[in-house]
Amino acid sequence: MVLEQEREKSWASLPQVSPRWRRNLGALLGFGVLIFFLALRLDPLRGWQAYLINFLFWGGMAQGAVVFAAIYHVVGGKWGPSVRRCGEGMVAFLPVSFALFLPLYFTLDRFLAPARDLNPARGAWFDPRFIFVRGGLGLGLMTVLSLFLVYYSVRLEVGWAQERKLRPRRWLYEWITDGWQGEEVESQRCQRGMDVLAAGVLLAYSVTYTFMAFDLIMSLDPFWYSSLFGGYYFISTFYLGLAGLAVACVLVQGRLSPSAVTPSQLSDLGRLILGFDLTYVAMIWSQYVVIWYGNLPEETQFIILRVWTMPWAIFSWSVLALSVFIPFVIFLSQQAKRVPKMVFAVGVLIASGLWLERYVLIVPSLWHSDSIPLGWVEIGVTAGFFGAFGLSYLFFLGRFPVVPFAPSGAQSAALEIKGAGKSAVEA
Amino acid sequence: MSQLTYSQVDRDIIGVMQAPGWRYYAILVVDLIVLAWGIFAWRYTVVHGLGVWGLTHPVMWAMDITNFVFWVGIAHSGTLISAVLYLFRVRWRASIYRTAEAVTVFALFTAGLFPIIHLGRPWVFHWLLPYSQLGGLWVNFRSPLVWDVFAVMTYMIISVLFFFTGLVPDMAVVRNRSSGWRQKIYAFMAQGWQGTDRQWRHYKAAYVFLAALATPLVISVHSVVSWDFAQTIVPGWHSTIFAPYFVAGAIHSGLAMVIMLLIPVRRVFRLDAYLTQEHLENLAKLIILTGLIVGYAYAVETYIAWYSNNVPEWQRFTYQVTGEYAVPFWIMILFNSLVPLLFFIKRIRTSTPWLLIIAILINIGMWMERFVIIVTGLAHEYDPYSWGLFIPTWVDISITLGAFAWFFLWFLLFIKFLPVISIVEVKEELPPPMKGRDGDK
Amino acid sequence: MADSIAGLVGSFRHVDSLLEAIEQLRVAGYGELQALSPVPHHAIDEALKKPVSPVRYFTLAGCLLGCLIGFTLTIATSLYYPLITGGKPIVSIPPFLIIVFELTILFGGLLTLGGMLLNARLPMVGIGPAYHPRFSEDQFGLWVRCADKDYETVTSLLKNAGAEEILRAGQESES
Repeated sequence: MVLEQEREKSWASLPQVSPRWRRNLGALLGFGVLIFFLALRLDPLRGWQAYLINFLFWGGMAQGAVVFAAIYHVVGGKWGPSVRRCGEGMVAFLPVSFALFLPLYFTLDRFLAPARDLNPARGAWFDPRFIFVRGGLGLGLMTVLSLFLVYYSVRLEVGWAQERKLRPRRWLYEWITDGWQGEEVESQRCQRGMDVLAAGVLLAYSVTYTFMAFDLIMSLDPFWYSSLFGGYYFISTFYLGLAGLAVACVLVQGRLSPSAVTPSQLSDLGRLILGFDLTYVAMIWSQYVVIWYGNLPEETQFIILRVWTMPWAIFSWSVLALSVFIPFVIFLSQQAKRVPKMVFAVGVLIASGLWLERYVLIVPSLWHSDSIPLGWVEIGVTAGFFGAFGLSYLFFLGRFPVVPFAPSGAQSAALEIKGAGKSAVEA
Repeated sequence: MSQLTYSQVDRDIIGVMQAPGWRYYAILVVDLIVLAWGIFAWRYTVVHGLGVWGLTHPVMWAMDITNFVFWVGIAHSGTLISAVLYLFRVRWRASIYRTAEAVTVFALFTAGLFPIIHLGRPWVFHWLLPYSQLGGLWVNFRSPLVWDVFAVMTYMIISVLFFFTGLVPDMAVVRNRSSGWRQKIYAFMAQGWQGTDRQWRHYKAAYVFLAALATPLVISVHSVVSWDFAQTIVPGWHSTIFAPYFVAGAIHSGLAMVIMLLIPVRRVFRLDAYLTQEHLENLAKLIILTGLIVGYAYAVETYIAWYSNNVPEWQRFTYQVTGEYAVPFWIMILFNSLVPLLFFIKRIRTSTPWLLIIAILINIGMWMERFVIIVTGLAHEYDPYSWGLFIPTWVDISITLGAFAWFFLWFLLFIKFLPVISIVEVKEELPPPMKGRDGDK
Repeated sequence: MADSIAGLVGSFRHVDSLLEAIEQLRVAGYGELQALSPVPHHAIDEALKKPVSPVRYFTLAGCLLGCLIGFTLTIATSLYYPLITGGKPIVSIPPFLIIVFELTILFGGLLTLGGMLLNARLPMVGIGPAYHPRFSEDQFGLWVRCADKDYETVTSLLKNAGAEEILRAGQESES
């Protein structure tokens, strides 16, 4: 049967992740750890600053990609099942990201004390321990919900492969298919599970990331507040997730599974990125124009420091150039969205811009000396986080097929891709 | 819907435009009476001055601007459905987008009345337009009110353009089936449309670009309207979240209005094959999303009011919850963010009576929301000695009702003169007649 | 019509018959074809191999025009009669950007419409000779521009592809 063959092929195309990649990423991780501990000795504020920026960046990217998968499921999307799977794959970094949240306990006081001293009225709600606990609970919840969402997504395929003994038994596969009741029943059950968890992920995401922004970024400044900041941050994180997803899809298609992602799927992803480019800039603008017009010093000082004062102005305008303007101009063109190299480049540009965005939101609140803290510490810590992220992602890609089944079973996703590929040729 | 043939689609949809029965005329007459009363109330205002409204220090903006924001908001969901869902290639949009777009255009006609109505001297409304007075003084482009003029005018023009462009192929179908003076009018609106490949090609290209242009309008227009309030420093108004909050609220009320109008139209004209339960259910699901965003905004505003240590901000919040306008406030919270959550239950979102009731409650709630934001903000600003109340007079209420009557008048005329469902798009959604499929037909 | 190059119009009930007819006629060298249909169908466009619509350039031109007008209007008028309002600078870019944005969309839309009307040759004062109301209802038409002498060939090609009725352009249908 054609369906069976397609499914077998998607398992057969499971990439053999080259050990060289693992070694390189491991080296980066080790390097990063070394640099971080070195920085802690020499300049702890700088080290922890870099850590916070990277924690928010990489954890946010992973969560944003999983949120994409959740939205894809909720709206019943059909245009890019393997794009969805590439997004789901980033869930592997979420437990790592949660573990990386825990050390922040040792620095929250250092970050929040100056603001609390200047503005003591905030009280117990801003006790660093309380922030740590609620941050941990929120992130923990997000991690669990995201893991279960992806669990239901891969369970069907792993079970099917186990039935036919396509892959050697591993503890991970055993655990995932625990209580397997046959394809028919499991199909229903996994759909239902995904329905509930996708909605849960989306609801929890908006609340958790709103509070992450309020607690870990906004409260670093003693007086500034902006009611849209939470919403702006979770849109920015989702946009980051899309950028990371674009890069991942191109890499997966180029290096691991050539037929997995077609030009028309890249084009659709590109359109989504264009749309969120505009949404992202609308979030920035909505805050900027209100604060500009009201001209209240407690609100304007935050913005002026970052946008109109050197040296931070360079960073802010770079963020706009890299994450907003250049991707917009490139992706206006129909053709550009279909070319893997362009999509990759735009993804990297946006991600770089958003790294600088997190930098320019956090650092000016904390760093009060004349120098600009951008150098070996930041590069090292970023490299370390990149290594951890890459290793987690490869862990997933090496174990689960990039081309998923459609849970309803009527038509496999692989066939959909072939159909999509055909119409891409016709179009 | 896949059992339908092209000619049946023509017959069913054009059938709605047949000569109406007595019930239609009865509704029309009642509507005209309410409208006439509203016009009378406005004339009364022009003759006797704005003092006949409940406006007083410090509340110098109340039901006039509430109505303006309410109707501009209603307009947004139509463009969302016709432009945004088009770009996302959402198929179920085809049957409902014509009605939704009509709601947009007529809501904008209604909203556009209020900048004129609420002027003390409406005969100088042209001063709002960008032109040079003697000496070279232009309008103040730095004012949010002038941004409003540009945004709402742009939105009105683009929506009307989009609406009439989409109508052209349908007008050809209607032209072919009508006679007399009606045929002449439809022929004019059809612009000589024949459905040649050349015409379709350029039409489709223009449609995509108009949709792409209308999409940012969905976000920007109500953002600009929200900035009428957010750009001030009134406590409770000066909040960065206003733009997306108002946009979500606008789509929320607009979707509710579309449901409110689709359900009777579907029932009376027996259009169940086109306006299926699935369509209504999908609209209900969108309402869950917008309701959640609105609820999120309520929660975040409360949090920030506390977080900011801004005393006037916090007192304004407590005033909302416990003061003279507490009833509209709680209606707003209940109807806008809590009641729509009922749509999570499948039985409720697939039941037409429930859909209608909840849609009506949402519309009431959203009107209340505009009222609460505006009036409580102005009633309780910084200085306690200048606090005051707004109490609506019969003139305020009559004008509000008159505006509703004006909107419904346009909608009643629309039902009978234009196809309520897009004939061409419905046909596009059907599988095209293929020889292979029909056999020897 | 006595017009010697008016051509023939075949009417089809099915899309695939129409597509087949287009193929056959192109192969036989009759390239001047025009299809009439109640709904657009991308397969018809592909078969006819017509170029992409230039309406997009009108849109771009409109957007750029609107942008230019927006900046000029706001900045020039502010400088001409400088009044400080609300303590904001004379040339205050944030509010002007909002005006620019709206005018960009407005002119983009107006020129898009203009581009469509121009390219589609709308409004048309008279109905063209090939049109019949059923092409807006449920049938597809194919107008082949050819000389009188080719009528036999074209008729047989159309019939082979499955045309229900074949008329001279401009002739009234019996049905």
